[in-house]
Amino acid sequence: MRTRSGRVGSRLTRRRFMATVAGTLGATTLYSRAPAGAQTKGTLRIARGANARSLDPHINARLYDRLVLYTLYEPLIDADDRGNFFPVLARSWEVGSTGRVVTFHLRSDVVFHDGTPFTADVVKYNIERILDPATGSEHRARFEGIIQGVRAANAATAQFYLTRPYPPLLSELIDRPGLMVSPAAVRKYGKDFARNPVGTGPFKFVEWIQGSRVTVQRNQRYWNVKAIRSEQMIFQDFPEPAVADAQLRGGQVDVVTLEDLPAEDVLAFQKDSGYLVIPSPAYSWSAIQMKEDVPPFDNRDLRQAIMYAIDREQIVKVIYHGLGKATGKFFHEGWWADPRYNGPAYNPDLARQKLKASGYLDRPAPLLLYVQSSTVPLGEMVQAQMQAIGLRVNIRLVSERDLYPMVLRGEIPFSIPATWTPRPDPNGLAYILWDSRGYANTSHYRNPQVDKLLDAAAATYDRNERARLYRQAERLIVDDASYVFYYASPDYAIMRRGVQGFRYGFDLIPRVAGAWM
Amino acid sequence: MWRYVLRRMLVLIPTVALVTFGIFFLMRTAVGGDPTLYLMGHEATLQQAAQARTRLGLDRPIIVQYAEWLRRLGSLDLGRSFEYPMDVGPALAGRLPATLELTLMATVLALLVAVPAGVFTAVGRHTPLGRAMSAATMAGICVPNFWLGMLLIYVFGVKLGWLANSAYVPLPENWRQNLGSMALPAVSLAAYYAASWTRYLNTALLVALQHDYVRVAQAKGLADRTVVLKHALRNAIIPMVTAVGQSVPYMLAGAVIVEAVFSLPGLGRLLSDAIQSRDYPIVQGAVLLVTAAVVASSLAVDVAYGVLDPRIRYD
Repeated sequence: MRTRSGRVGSRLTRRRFMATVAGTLGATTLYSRAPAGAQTKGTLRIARGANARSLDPHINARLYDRLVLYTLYEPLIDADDRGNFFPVLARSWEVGSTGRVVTFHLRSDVVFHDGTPFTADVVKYNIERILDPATGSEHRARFEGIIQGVRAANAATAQFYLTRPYPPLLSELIDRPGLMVSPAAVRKYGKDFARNPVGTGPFKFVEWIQGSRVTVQRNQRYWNVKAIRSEQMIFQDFPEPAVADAQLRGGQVDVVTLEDLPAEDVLAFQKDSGYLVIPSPAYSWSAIQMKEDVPPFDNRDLRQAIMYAIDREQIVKVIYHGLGKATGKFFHEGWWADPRYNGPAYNPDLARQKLKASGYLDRPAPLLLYVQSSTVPLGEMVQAQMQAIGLRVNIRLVSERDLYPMVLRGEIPFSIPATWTPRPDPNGLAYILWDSRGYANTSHYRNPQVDKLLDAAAATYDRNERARLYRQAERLIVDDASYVFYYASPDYAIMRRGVQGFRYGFDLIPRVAGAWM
Repeated sequence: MWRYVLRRMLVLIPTVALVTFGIFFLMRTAVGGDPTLYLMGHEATLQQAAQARTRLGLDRPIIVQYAEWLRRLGSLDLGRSFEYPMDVGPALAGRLPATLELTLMATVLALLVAVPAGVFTAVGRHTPLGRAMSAATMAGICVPNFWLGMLLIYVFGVKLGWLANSAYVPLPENWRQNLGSMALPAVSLAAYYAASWTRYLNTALLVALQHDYVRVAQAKGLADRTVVLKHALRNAIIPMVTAVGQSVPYMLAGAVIVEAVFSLPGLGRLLSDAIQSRDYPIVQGAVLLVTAAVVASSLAVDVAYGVLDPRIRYD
């Protein structure tokens, strides 16, 4: 079939095709042609990584859900970027002479978003809610065996009765189990309270589009409403860092606070004068983890050989592009950190000596290192560094979500990375990770001397004495090498110039309630 | 025809039963992992995880758990999500609109491109434009949808600044912003199918144009347009209906990636997250829904055959 031109039907179909293209271009009028950066006045738009999981701070809320939770709820006290506590819902507090009674004097001008008053009975209710097994709170272990009970001496005085002196209590009360929820709202909504949050916070809940965003609005009855400059905040979920960055550059969000922002992104924005990059004041640390009760990792010489074989500077330079720091220890900030101590340094000769002393060189089987699948280059570098001293290592990949459950169940004895964020009290991590009774002691580390030091440090309110004891414990823990620390880094928030009032807490969670654009 | 449709709908029941049974056991055995440890994260203790398992009924034999799930299904109760504070039904219902809208828009977009492009590349295949379009279809097939999505975000968002108000909002809330937020994701998802359906139609049309009835039509003096569009295309489009119908499950799978890239609150992303965090009730419910959707789309394809081709009859 041919036309006069010799082409088959070409003139007719070309015209139709061009009409289709023109129509498609016309469809772009669907876009709002507002200039980049257009936003509702007084609205701050914040990109976060994972989906919000729960807006009930006591049940199922993730660590980084606190970004939203701290706008809706408040604790009795909070910590500044040096780890020093300051009052929030409590005006003041004091510790009794025995160290076993902590009394909080509460603000009397606070109401919940539903209008119910915040009183000492509310504090009692909240703590009992955490301790009640029927609640199913994953934070029960943090208070169980420590808080005997809470008494409302009067409407503005709440007394915590402890089984023993316990200075770390204040640090625990800053985290999710210390955020105060409205008892009336919990009774009203029951199991749906997590989708209908009611707190005393500077913002009230507006909506939660699952998988997309959480919106909160300024609480006009907030006790310190003058300090709140934003009318509204929108927390948008962006699992992909590259997409969040593009949204920031395109003006669709004002702040990006992802948990694992790639170093390349941070460096790129640091060079761009249109944006601010704010590091957190404290550092999270990363380590290689080994289970001490599983051969061959029950061999201290082998663990120390690995510890001296790691070239931390190379890891920081190549894997993290120079961001963060090389380190061999885990206490970095706070009054308890020892600035003169940085843990073991890279020493391949000593590593070879330790390896020879371990007797492991004579064994043919390579070690199997479980590597989180999002950190393959890191795993390969560590593998190469161990092979450089004569230790053969194979790699097996594990997904990010599977890594910790497998470590907790004892299925993988040798893994990387183990990453933990700091707490405003040294006991927070030291006890749970390295005390033989610690619930997160997944390396099954047993050192009676460390147990004694940690018990003594947690039983005194003398800061200098506590610092001395924790530093001593740190050296022992590092030398025993069930964790081989290699890296510490702040978290970074990237934001458009013009964002004011953004600050990080000591625990690496941003406190955005006072921020505005 | 209606007897045929009814018979096919009855087949849906054993199909769904088989698939959900398989997924139920596979999640708890082959995939494995303790959901309570995923839920509790770094706060987990083994003791609390054991208590949570009892509370969620996970310490019972798998067959007992499945029987309980079936019993609840009888009263249209899909259970409660382990991870999110909501029942499975509302959780799926909340995510379904975004996915349906995305796949529907992508399908329509792909067809709007594929049909004219397929016709043009068949009849104009010797022209420079026809050859260029054939090459473009190869590119459309090869380019991954997540890469295309990120490229579109970069061009339209970063460089042109056209995405200032493109955060997702449900359609009833603001249709303009909704369509604006769905346009780029739909293009990302549609690109591959537009390209592959173009080539499919191109081939089918070339085959149809070789048939005797086309020569008869030309000999009768009918215009080229009538010969191509009214006779040859009508026959060529029938196998393409199969291609479109069979693409539905793959499009749903592709939607998972696109939803993640554009942060759309869709069913694909929910299912992907649920599998990773071992949220069994969500996985069961979503698989049930997707299975029903695939079977239904297959039925729709068969019914469409009957409409398009009068020679096809169903008893």
